Amino acid sequence: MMDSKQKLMNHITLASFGINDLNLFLNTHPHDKQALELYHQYKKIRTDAMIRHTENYGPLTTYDSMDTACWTWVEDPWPWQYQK
Amino acid sequence: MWTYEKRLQYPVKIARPNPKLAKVIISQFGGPDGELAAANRYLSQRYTSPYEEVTATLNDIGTEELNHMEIVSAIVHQLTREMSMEEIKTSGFDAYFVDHTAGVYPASAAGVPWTAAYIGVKGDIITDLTEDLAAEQKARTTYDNILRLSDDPDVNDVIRFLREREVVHFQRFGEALRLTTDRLNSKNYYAFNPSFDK
Repeated sequence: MMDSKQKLMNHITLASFGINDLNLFLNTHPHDKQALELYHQYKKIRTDAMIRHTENYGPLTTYDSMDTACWTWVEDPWPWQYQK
Repeated sequence: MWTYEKRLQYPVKIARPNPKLAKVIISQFGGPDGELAAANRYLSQRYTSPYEEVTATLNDIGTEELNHMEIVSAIVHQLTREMSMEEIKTSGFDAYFVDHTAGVYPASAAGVPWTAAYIGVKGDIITDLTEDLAAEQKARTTYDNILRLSDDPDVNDVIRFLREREVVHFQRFGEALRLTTDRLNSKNYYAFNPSFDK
């Protein structure tokens, strides 16, 4: 079953934020095993969601494009644009 | 280097344009305690950081501030979409409009252009981290003031996220300062400058 674009983006937003926050915590607590385990849980969710997003709705970075016919990176919407 | 991800760290979806509110919120883009200042402050300070946890903290909080700069700019952009000339005149947005139309320009709410004079890079890690602690609190106060001025739930939801990140960054910089002083002579933290003296 194909996930909706919105649902995948929600997973990416939540997992990425978990990683961002743990990243800062781990910088000042590099030996905290519990935080490191949590990091890996979020990393798995993010990696899976990023792959599914790229395959179904296009890349979120210019390193991940799978385009062969035309370069879809240029397509709207950009993240700052209002979307109903 | 940095890689752009085509998404916001926290989504911005403002249903009602409001140029009057945009004029206030733009301060957290290009004002004295805004996100542009924050990113440049930490990313410039990191080069002379003497301890690796502190270097990583400056690098990664500086990077998160770039995300926040984009979020604040997105709020301003969405608040100023589809403005009528009448709205521009009556909302007080005309003073901004005459120079920037609906472009997003880094300036304070009072219209002062962004300047590097807003940031300090002293090349002494205790001094730099102490500035950073103050900077996070000043940004937190500014977000508190925005919450006093705004009654738009779409805006306030995002502002509360940004405000919370200031509190988290303050905590992390406090830990970085403790990690720094733990490595220094507790009888005289200032005996030498670990960012410069060998």
